[in-house]
Amino acid sequence: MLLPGLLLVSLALAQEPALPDLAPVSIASGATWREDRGTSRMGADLFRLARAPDGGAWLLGLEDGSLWRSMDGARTWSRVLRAPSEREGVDDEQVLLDGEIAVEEELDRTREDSPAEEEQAVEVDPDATDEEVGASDPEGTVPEESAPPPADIDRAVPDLRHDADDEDRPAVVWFDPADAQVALAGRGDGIWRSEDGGAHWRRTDRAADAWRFLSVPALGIVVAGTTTGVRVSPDGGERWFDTVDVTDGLQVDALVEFEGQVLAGTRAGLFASRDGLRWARLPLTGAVSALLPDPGWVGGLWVGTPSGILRSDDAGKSFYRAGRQVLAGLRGLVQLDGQGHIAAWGTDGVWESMDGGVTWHPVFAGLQDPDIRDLVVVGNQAVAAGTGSIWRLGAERDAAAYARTGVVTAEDQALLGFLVDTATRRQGLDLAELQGRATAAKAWLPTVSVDVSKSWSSGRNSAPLLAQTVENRDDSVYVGGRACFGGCSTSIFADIADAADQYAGIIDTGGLETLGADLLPTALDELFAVGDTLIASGSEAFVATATAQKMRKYRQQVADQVAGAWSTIQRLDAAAPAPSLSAQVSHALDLQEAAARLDLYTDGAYARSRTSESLP
Amino acid sequence: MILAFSLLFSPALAGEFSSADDVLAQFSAEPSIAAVHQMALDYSKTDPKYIDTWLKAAKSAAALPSMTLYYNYKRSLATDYGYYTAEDAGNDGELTEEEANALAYGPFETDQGVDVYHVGSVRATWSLSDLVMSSDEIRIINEAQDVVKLRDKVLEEVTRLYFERRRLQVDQLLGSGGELKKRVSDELRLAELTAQIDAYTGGSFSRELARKQ
Repeated sequence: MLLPGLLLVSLALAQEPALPDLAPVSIASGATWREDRGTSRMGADLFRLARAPDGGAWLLGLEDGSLWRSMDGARTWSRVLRAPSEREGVDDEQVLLDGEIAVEEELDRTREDSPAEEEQAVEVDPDATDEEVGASDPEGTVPEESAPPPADIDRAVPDLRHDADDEDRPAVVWFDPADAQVALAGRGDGIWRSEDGGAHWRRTDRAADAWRFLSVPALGIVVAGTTTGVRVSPDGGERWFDTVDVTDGLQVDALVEFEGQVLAGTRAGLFASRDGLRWARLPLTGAVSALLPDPGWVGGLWVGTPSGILRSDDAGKSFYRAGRQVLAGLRGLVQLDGQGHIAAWGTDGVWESMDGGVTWHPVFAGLQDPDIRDLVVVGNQAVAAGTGSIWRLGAERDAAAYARTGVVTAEDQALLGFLVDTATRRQGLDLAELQGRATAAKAWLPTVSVDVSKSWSSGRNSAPLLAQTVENRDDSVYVGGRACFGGCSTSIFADIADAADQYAGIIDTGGLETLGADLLPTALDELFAVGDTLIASGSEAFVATATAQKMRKYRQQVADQVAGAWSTIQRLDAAAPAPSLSAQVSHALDLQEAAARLDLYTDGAYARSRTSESLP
Repeated sequence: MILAFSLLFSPALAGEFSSADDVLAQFSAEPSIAAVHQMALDYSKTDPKYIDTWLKAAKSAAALPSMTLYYNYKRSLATDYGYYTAEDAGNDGELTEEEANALAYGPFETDQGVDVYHVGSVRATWSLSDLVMSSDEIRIINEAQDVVKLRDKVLEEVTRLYFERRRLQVDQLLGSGGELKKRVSDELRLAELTAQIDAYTGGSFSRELARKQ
């Protein structure tokens, strides 16, 4: 009966599905930012980054409005659309035609060569012109405007020129989540659309420059948040219609689909719409820079504002502050693996929260450009667009980077153990000094006294009647031992040698001069023999106990201090300082201060350990 | 003093320095934090060497016996006297009373003695239990614990003051100077921090600053 029961239990345990790992893994864990310099010759700061849902193409929008495309994981880039200011007088139809021809040629050439993907990551020739950059791109992603010479383009149809006021607007890029071939871009001269994964672009709306795009499959529309309100497209970005509503005139910085409605975060508050056409203001009137629905909580929503992250648990009916940290210059929020695991980015770098936005920590190891314009997270790997470069988190680490990540190695652990041990073994803190056993044994050890006494006397006695005088001399030596136990309430003593007297008739010359040395140890042995039967009444044990208790308490505090300083050093070592000189100096001083604190608790052992090859 | 610091740490352009090490090298003439720690230890008499000395003394003290020296001197003089009485002279009635009275005499010395006594003794007492652990040792350990706490507290505070002062110096060095009011405030704060470090080091910090500059 017992055996089948055990078998059933074993079977049940064996079939228990593995529980998912509920604890999210920090994207900063063991990772550091690495710079990709493929954007160094683009001539303008980066602005927005988008990745196709199938991972094939990446799009990059620049501050000057130009669009760039990468087919190798955002490493090398080809320009696919010039900046509006460079497009004055461009004949779009001719450009499109020439571009298609060029693309076909490039595709043919690519099929013939078919180089490995890694080999495709070629460096852009710094001396090449923009057109040359595109033409030399081996991926077949040729800029559509590369065929006609610039002079011809500039002399082409002038009526396509957009309002000059908008020419410096940055470019926003976006991929349709349902179709990796469809991409949209918004910039100062309107909304552009691509149907081939960003290789070719066609302007579909000249009325507004879009700032955000959102596909709402349930409604069959694409919503564009522009600098002047919301526009809607019923056909995936082919045609655009303005919505005449309360969002008019407001710059839309965030768009999300949430609980069956579309939310638009603007500079003047949060708005909601169930059809994309009619919008209603939600009870949040401040500027909204980012929105992120919480997939782990029905009605949960994070809202990025200039004063920090707000949280709603009731689908936007009410908001409260998610945490105390103010993430300055916040531009976006993104969900990471795990419930409550989110990341934010903005002018102050990338921040990560693993507790639903309550606390945030920076993810800046190796990041030398804190002004992050956009962030794309694939799995647990992040790719960020800084002002001038693409930054990639985590994928590859060299040994030096690994050493800086703060991952605690066995050697680190040994050093920490050594430091704590050293700090808690200083005088006054070492419990071994109290020797508890010795203190207890002390009660059984006697106080031993050895007395050596010598006395001598002389006298003269005259008897006139007898005419006789008698003189005497008396010498004596006394050696005694005394053993006193405990509080000395009990003791035992013995004379080891007694005195000897001698009288002489006239002159007493005697005295004991034969005290044998062999008597002493024998007698002392006899004294010690009785020691183990006696009980002491000393009070040192109680004092020692009180001292030990006090000692333990402070030892714990010292251990905490040492571990804290050590952790600070590990954290500082793992985190590269911000690029500014003052930040680097501050970082260096923080490190020095933590090291000094370790040294003060370890009597300099930390400094010595850093200069020696192995731990003492 | 304030003027001296003002002159020494007049704002510089950040561009003059290429790295954090360059910036911190500007203060290389000042005592290091390790040196300031030692100054504070010396002044507060909380250096571990003092406690070492106490503990060693407590241990070795138990190996030495407590000594008791005793000396006693006595001189005694004794004189015995005798009497010859009429009764003794009467010889059991053979003499008349007058004859017996005439024979009686005394007192007279019968014995004279002089005695001199010397007693000297030495007592050596070892408390064997103190060789293992003495109450003095426990008291010293207890005291050492208080000293360690004091030392940690002093050095923590010195460390904090030292680096706050250094950060202020860096701010002054790299900052653009700012308003006069802020500059004066910074200088006063710097002087205050220097004085606080001096308070923990018995003035050694300022003396060392002056010596190295």
